Amino acid sequence: MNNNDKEWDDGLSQMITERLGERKRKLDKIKNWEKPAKHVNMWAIASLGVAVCVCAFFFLIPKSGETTPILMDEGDIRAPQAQMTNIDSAIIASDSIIHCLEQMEQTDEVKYEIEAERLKQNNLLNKKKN
Amino acid sequence: MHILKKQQKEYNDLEVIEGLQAKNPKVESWFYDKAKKHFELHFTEDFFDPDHRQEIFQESFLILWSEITNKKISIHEGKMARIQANNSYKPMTCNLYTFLMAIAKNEYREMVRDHRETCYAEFFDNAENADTDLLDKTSGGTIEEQKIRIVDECIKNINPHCREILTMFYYEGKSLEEILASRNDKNQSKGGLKTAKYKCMNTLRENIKQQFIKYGIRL
Repeated sequence: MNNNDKEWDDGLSQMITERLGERKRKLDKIKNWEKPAKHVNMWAIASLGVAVCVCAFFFLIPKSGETTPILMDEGDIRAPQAQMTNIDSAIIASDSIIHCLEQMEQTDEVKYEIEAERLKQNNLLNKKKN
Repeated sequence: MHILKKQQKEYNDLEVIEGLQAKNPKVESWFYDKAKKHFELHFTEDFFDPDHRQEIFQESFLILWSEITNKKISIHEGKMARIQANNSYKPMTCNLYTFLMAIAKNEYREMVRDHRETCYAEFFDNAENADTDLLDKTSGGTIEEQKIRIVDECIKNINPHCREILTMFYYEGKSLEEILASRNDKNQSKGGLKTAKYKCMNTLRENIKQQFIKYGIRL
């Protein structure tokens, strides 16, 4: 704070400075809220997508000796046992994705993705039971 | 992968007042968004371009925000109320968004007419807008609160260039050279800027002192 106005030392200048500061802080906040948030969210979503794909990729690569395909399309005529393994793989993959997401900073977008993935996992589990 | 719809908390007027007075950043940003949407929906004056409309909204929001943090608008006996000249709180009959629009209407008219009105009451012609009478509402509350309101009001009313210079010099602590550089050609010389700064501060102080005298407040 500049304090070289010696002729004004009755405390009023300090009060004026404080209130000017209060106004400036509010205006700065208003300007900050005006900044479009969409591009930030798009980056967050894009990063999230990449991270999820990377996690899924590493956990979905078949280990040596495994020949079972990872996910099956509808109408696949494989044996029930093979189909079950595919669902198991999908559940495991979903688990891995959730695990990856839980390691990330828990922003709102990450939380929603975790919730979505859990819903997907529940659907897979129900499918497995049936 | 899909994004689930966000369930965002909604704040009522009392919660907004509490949140703003507590400087809760979540409430601040939520209220700003809500107020902006309300403004865009209900502000029907098309005289100005989007930038001016934005300016009207931001200035109006700042006024309302300040009234709440200054406790000119506060919660009294569980209701939203506004302070009166006799130091008592009177329950408001309109909500914060209606009040915001009344402020915005006035800011708009000031911008169109290019002079400051001293009596706002003529713009509002029904009981619901009675609380939006902004005339002479610096009185009431503790002495400190009154002083703050007077200073805020005087700051709001000074020339925007003065306000900018004083903010940069006194609050941000910038040197005259730094202010000169950031303001480009508005004050061409350091001497001119120094004179402007002195005159602005002097004028502001005199305005405030006059208001203090008017309300019997000692410096």
